[in-house]
Amino acid sequence: MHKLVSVQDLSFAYPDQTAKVLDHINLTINLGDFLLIAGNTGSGKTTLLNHFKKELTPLGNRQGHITIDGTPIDDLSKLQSAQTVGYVAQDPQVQPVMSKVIDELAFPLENIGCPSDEIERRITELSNFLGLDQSLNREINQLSGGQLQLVNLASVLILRPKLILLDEPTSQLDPLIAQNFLNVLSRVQRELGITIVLTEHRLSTISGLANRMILLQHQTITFDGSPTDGIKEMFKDDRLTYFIPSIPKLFLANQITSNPLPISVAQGQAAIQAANLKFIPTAKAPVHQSNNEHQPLLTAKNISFTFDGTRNVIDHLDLTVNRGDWLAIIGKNGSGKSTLLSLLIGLTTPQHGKIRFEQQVVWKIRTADRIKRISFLSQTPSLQFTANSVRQELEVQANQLKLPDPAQQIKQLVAKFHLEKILNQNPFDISGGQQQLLGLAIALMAKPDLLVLDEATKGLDPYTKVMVGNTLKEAQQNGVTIIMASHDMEFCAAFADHCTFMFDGHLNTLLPTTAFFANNFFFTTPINRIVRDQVPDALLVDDLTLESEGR
Amino acid sequence: MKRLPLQMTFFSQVHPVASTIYFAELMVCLLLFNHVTVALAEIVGLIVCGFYYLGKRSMTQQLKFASSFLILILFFNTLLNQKFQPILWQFHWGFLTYRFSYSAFLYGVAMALVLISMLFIFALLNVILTPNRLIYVFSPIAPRLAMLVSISFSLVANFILKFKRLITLQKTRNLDVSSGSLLTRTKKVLHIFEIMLQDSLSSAMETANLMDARGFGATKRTHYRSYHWQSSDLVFISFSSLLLLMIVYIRFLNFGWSRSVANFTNVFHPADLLPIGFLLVLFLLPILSEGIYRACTN
Repeated sequence: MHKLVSVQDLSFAYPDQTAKVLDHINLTINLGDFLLIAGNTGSGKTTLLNHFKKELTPLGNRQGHITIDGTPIDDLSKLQSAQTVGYVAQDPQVQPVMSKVIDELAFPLENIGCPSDEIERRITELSNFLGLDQSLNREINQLSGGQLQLVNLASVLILRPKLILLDEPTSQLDPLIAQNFLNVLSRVQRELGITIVLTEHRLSTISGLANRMILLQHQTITFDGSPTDGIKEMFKDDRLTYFIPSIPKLFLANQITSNPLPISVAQGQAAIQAANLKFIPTAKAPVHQSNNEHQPLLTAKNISFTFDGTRNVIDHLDLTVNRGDWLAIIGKNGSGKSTLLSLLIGLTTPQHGKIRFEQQVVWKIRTADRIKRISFLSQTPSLQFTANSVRQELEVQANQLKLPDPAQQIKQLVAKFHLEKILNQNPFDISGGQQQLLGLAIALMAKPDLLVLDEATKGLDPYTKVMVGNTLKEAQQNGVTIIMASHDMEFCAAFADHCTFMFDGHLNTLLPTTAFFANNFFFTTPINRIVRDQVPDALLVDDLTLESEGR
Repeated sequence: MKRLPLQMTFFSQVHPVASTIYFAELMVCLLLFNHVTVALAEIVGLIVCGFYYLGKRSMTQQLKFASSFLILILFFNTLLNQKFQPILWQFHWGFLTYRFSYSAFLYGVAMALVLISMLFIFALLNVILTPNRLIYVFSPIAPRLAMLVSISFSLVANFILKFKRLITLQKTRNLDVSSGSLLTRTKKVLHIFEIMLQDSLSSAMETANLMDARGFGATKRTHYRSYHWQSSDLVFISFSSLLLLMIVYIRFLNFGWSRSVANFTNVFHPADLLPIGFLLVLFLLPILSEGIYRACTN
């Protein structure tokens, strides 16, 4: 097999840090590989990935050798590097520099000095291959996150590189769009033979597409093999267990031997049938009924909102949220969820209808009073930051809220959200996941009556997601009412009390979480899909108990 | 009447170098005259073009902004020109006196119209000279600068969007720019700018790295879009240049210009008709050309 990337004894530490991020890494990537790099947050996945692209190699203390297609990476000219290795970043918004799709695709070719007719030929060919031909003259800022990430991929692919690196490319996308993006990536690898290396937390789809997986633990590679074997290896680590997709987890947790380990819904159903597995619902303690149930905290009546006067983004919407409830609003990107949340907390005023928080019209509550009772975490937490360090950020919020013992409160939140190591860092420089945690800490500081969250789990690894879910559940039990817009079915299934679907500017009937997912066919959890014939109410691995394993 | 898509208009198809020269000519004209009626003729020409090329909605918004801008410039001009006659109204506050004179008022109106016209020219330039056309024009002179100017065009749009979002979301941190005294509001807006800068810098670093990763600066850049001179481009730019020469000659004869604010005693001077006529033709040249273009198309 042709060796495309060779890493020999690579060790790396960031400047002024003694602890190594990568320690004696040895790795060979072959031409045509679809390689998944898995590991905990902070395990060095992105650092390793960035070492394969000369322009993105991090500054620090480095030992070892990396060669790309036989050439040491430092000897690659800028031109060679651009034409050999492509890179797609996590945040789709940071890559584009031109205003139109066609210009964004032409940009890298103009950079390498391609003649005009060659540029045109490549754009024609690639846009037809990726289905972008109808979008070429669209403005970049009018594209959805999924379309933008596809343009970013196209803008790298147009240079015809041998290797494409992707750093959690779907973490900002909703699940259906993420799946489409990964399918395109798989086509690129299968049909064009381009080598793909990506880091990813959502293993459910990618494990079925990648032919190889490496596991980074304790700063080094602890596993290198097929994704199914890698998942089995992850099951041995307490923290990495959270990363395992629910279908293989069901089989591993119940010690069901199935070869190969099922990953997809179809494989899971086939394995259940083949082994004649019988599941029953897990007995659970009865849910505690709050005394405050059915006391409305927030009511929205007949609200309509439009940005441009041509189309109602919110259209005659009614909603009542009871005190102590946790409501999840599910819907695709662009369905109006974020606009609705902005209206519910009084940041935006609807053209029609009223929204009352207790008895007050929400947008008439003074801002200083409102932040004590209603907290909000937007899907871009950095736009809510205001200080130069994480510590200051928390102190500013404590001052605004006039908390009685700010130092103690800050200490508790820092411990709860594991912010100790980044306290002195600039909040705009920390990772997306850390920004999300800081945003949550700020939002919870007020101990609000109502907590409104817009994609609270975006960019978080599965372990941190569960930690966040448990913290929010604890807050809910202490009297906080939660409204959350999310794409994350499994998170909603695990933590929300009620769910609803946002569509065409309004909300469907609010249903208890189990009823909501059990009635859904497309928007439901993988577990519900594979066992709905046996246990219609099962949504998560913990909802199932293996009754018998017949042959 | 349904508006013609911009890319179907004659003006948007003019060779980028020709349209750059034309916009430069318009700017020169704005600086040549300072009489109110002449400035009015220039702005009327630009408003007509604005409605045609930018659309009713965009132009109405710009006119709303322009009206408040006009009042601001007018106020400062009358404030800075206190020694002229005839005084229409005056106001005493302690030892300070504010005199509102007719001459200063007329001068202020003329200056405001010229400045607003300049903004309208830039608004038109922004849609006609799209980023790739700008790169094409300026690349031979300063390739990197041309690229950066073009990128900054798309960044400005993102900047405005982000600024609006910041103003909304910072309310959740009790930073509400719509409440408090003028000083408090100003401080809050400045703080929002500071946040904006921090956020933009952090993403700009990543964008720059990703540009590098796609070969920016690797070799001499080429251009995907190539533009060829048509005879219509030559006719358009020759006619506009001829008009400019005539207008410069008229200015040389001291038409449409007064040296001192004290000379601003009348709104209309009969001698202004000459520059007004030529300027209207030059400023409305794209619209006139559209008519000819329509007549010549199948």
